[in-house]
Amino acid sequence: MSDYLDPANEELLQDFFAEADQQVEALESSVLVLETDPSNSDAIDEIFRAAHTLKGGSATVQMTELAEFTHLVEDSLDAIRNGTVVPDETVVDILLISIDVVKSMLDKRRDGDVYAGDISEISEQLRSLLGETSAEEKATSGVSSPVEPFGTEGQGIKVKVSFREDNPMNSVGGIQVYAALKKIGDVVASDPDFDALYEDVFRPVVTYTVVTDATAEEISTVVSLPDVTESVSVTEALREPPEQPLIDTKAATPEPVLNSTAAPTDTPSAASKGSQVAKQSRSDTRKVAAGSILRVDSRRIDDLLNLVSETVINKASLNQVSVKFADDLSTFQTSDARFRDTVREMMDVLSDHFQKVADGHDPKEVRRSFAERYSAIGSTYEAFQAELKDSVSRLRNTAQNLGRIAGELQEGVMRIRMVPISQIFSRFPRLVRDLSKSLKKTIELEISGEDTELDKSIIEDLLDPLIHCVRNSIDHGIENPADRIAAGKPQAGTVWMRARNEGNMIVIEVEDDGKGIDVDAIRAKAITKGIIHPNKQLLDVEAFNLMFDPGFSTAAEVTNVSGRGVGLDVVRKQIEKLNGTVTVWSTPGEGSRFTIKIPLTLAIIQGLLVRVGEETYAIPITSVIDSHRIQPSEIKSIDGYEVFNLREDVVSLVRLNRLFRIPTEENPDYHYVVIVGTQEKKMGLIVDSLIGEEDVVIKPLSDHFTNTPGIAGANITGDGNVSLIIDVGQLLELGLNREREAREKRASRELEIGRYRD
Amino acid sequence: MKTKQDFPTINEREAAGVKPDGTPYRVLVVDDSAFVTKQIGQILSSEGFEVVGSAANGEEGVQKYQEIYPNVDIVTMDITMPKMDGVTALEKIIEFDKEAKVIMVSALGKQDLVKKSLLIGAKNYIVKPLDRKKVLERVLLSLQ
Repeated sequence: MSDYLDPANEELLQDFFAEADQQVEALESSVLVLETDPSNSDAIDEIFRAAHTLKGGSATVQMTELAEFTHLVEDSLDAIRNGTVVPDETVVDILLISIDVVKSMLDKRRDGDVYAGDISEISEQLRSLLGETSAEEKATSGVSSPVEPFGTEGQGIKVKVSFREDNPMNSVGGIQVYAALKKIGDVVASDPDFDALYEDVFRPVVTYTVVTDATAEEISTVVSLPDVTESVSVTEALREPPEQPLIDTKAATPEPVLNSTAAPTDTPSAASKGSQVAKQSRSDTRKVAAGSILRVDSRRIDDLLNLVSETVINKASLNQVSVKFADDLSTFQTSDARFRDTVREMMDVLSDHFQKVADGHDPKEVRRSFAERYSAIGSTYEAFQAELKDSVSRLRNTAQNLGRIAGELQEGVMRIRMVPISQIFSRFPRLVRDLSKSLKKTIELEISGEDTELDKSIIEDLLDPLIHCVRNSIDHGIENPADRIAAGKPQAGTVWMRARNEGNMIVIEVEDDGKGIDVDAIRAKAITKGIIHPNKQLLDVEAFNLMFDPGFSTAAEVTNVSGRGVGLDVVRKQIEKLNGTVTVWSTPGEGSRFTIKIPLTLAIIQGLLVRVGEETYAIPITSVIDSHRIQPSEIKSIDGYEVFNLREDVVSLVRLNRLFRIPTEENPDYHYVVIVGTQEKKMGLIVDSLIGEEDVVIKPLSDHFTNTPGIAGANITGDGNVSLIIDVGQLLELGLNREREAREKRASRELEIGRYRD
Repeated sequence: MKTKQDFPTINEREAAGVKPDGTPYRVLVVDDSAFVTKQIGQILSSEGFEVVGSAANGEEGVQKYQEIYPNVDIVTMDITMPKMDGVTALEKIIEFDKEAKVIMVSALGKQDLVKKSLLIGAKNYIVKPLDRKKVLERVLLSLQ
C-alpha cells in the first residue's frame, strides 16, 4: 500500500486537488453572494470554512506558497467576519483576484510546477485590508491585558508550569493545563490571569493555584503534556515557595523533547526533498491522474448493489425454471411413451374390430366399445400441458423481472456517470460579473434547473459552447445601460440560464433580454461575405442559422469578448459532436435565446434499424426527420445526382448500398427513404427496408475502422447480430462536399462558356 | 496484506491502539475533508486502532456518536466544518456523554477555538498538517 502520508503520494494529491477545486468553487460562489448581500453571514462562514480547509490541505501536501497565501486570505476574511472590514466592491475584487491566484497556484502544482508569479501586490492589498483591523485589535487587547495576580487567598497548591515555545500552538498550553487542572480540582488563581491566558500570546511560565486533594505527583502527571510543557513544579502554597522542582518532567519524558526539538531542524530539508520528489513523480503520472475522479453519491452505489442482488435472485429462479423444464421434458417423455403404447395397441386390435364389423356386428356398437376403451388417449398429454403452462408462465415472469432489473441496472450505471449541471453553471456568475464589468453593462444572471443531471463526459464538453453563448448574449445581445433606458427597459439586463429534461434529451437555454438579433444586419453581412446570393429571400430562421456559419460575426468591431468570428460555428460543431443540436430564436427588441439540446448520455441512443442487403444499420433517431416509401419513378435526377421531392423541398438521395458497396437488388417495386439531418440540412438515405426502433448501445470501432467515413460505431442488436451505426453528420458533410464540387465545376464551365462568347 | 503469520516479527512490539484486553480502541473521525479523514484513519489503523465511523460535518458527527455509543472510545473532531462546527459538535457530544473523549483537530490560527474546546472538555488537540507521531501520542495520552 502506498503511504497516504507521503506528500508526494499520487492518491493523496489526487484527493487534494479534487477537494481543492471544490473549495475554490465554493469560495468563488460565496464571494459573489457576498457582493450582492454583504451581510450574508452564511456566505461569510462558508468562505471562511473553504479557505481554511484549503489552507489545511495545502499545508499537508507541503505546498507552502499556497498555504501561506491562503493563510493571508483567511486573515482578511476573519476581518470581514468580525465586521471590521465591510465587503464592498473593492474588497470583493481583491478576494476574487486572490481566488484567481489560488487557482493558478493549484494549476501550476497540478503541472508539477510551483507558482512563480508575483503576488506581492495582491498580498499587499490583502494586508492593507488587514492593517486597519490588526491595529484595532491591538488597541483593544492592550486594554484588557493587565497582568495582575489575584491568588490572594494563598490557599491551595501552586503549580508552576513552563511551556515550550517551539510548539506550533504555543499559546494554547496555558489553557490546556488550566483545563487539565480543573478536572482534578479547583483552579482558584493563575499568574498571568485567565483572561491573559486566553489571549493569543505565548506565556513561557504560568503559575496556577489549585485547591485539590491530589498529590503533587498526580498533579504533575496530569499537567505534563508532551511537547507542550517544559517542566512542572508543584509546591504547597502555604509554605514559602522553595523554588525547587519536586518533579522535573524534562528528565521524565526525554523522548518527546528530543523528538520535537529535532523536528524543526529536519523538516525543511525533508520538505524540500519531498517537493522535489513530488515534482518528478507528479509530472510522470499527471496524465493518468487527470480527470479520473468521479464523486458519486453512495446511495447510487447502494442502489446498484441492490439491483445486483436482485439479479442474483433472478438467476436462481431462472435455474429453477430450467430444472422445471427438465422435469417437464421427462413428464413429456413418459406421456409420449404411454401414447405410443396405446397407439400400438390400438393398431393391434384394429383388425379385430374390422373383423367384428365384417362378422355383422353393428358398426355403431363396435365404434362405441372402441371409443370407450381408448377415450383416455385424448388426455395423455393433459398433465404435461398443465405443467408446461406453469413453467412457461414462470419463465415469462422471470424474463419480465430480468428485463426490469437489466433496465434499472443500465439506468443505475448511467446515473453513476451523471453529475448535476451546476458543476458548470456555477462558473458563470463570476464570468458574467467580470464581463459585464469590463463592458460597463449591468447584467444580472439568473440560473435555474441547475440540479439537472447529465453524463460527466458531456458536461465537460459543454462548458465552452455555453461560455460562447453567454458571451454572445452579453456582448451582442444586451445593450448599454443608456440604450436600455432609451428603449424603456430596466437598466440592468438579465441573462437566464436554464436546464431541464425533455425525455431522453437535456435542454439548456441561454436567454437574454437584449436587443435581439438584427436579421437585416445578418443578411447584409452574409451578402458581403458571399455566403448567400443578394437575391435570396431569407426567412428569419435561416438568418439566425447563418450566424453559425464559419467566419461570421456581426459585431461592428472586435472586442476582447467576442466578435472574432470564431464563436458560433465552434458552438455548433461542439454540440453536434455530442449528438446535439443548437438553435437560436430572437424577437427584435426583446431578446434572443440559444437552445441547446443534447442526449442524456453518449453511450446509449435510440436508433432506427434499417436493412441494406444482408446488413443492418442503425440511424440515431435524433437525426431522423421522417421516412417514406416511394416508387422508383419518384427519384429524379439533377446534375447526375439523385433527388427526391419532399413536399416543397428537394432532397438529395444517397443509396446506402452504393455508399457501403453492398450488392443488393437495385430496382425493387418500392424504395424506403429515411430523411435525416436538421430542418435546414437534409438528405435522404435509400434503404431496402425499415426494421424498427431499438435502444442502441454504441461500441466504438477498433482502430482499423475509426476512419471509415459515415460510420460512428457498432452495436449488438437484440438477436445478437452486429449492426453499424451511421454517422449522419459525416454523411451530410459528404453530401455537401459533393454538391459544392459540382457547383464549382458548373461555375467554371459557365465562365468558360462566357469567355468563349466574348 | 501483511499478517503476523506471513511475517515472523523480529522485534515484537505491541500495537499501541489495542486495549489491555486485546480489543482495539474504537475511533470516530469527524472531518469535512475526506483526505484528512483518510490520513487520520491510516495513521490510527496502522497502530491497531479501529476506525468505527467517520462523519463529514459536526451534525453528522454528533448523530454518528449517538448511534454507535457506547461502542466508541475516542473521537477526532475537526474545528471548521460546514453545517455545524467542531466546537458546537463537541458541546453536543459532551452533553450526551459526559465521559466522551474528544480530540480536536485544527490548523494553525484557531488557537482561540482550541482553547474554548479544551475548556468545554476536549481531551487534547492535534495541529494540522498531521504528524504521525504527534497524532498517536496525543490520542494515546487522551485515552489514558
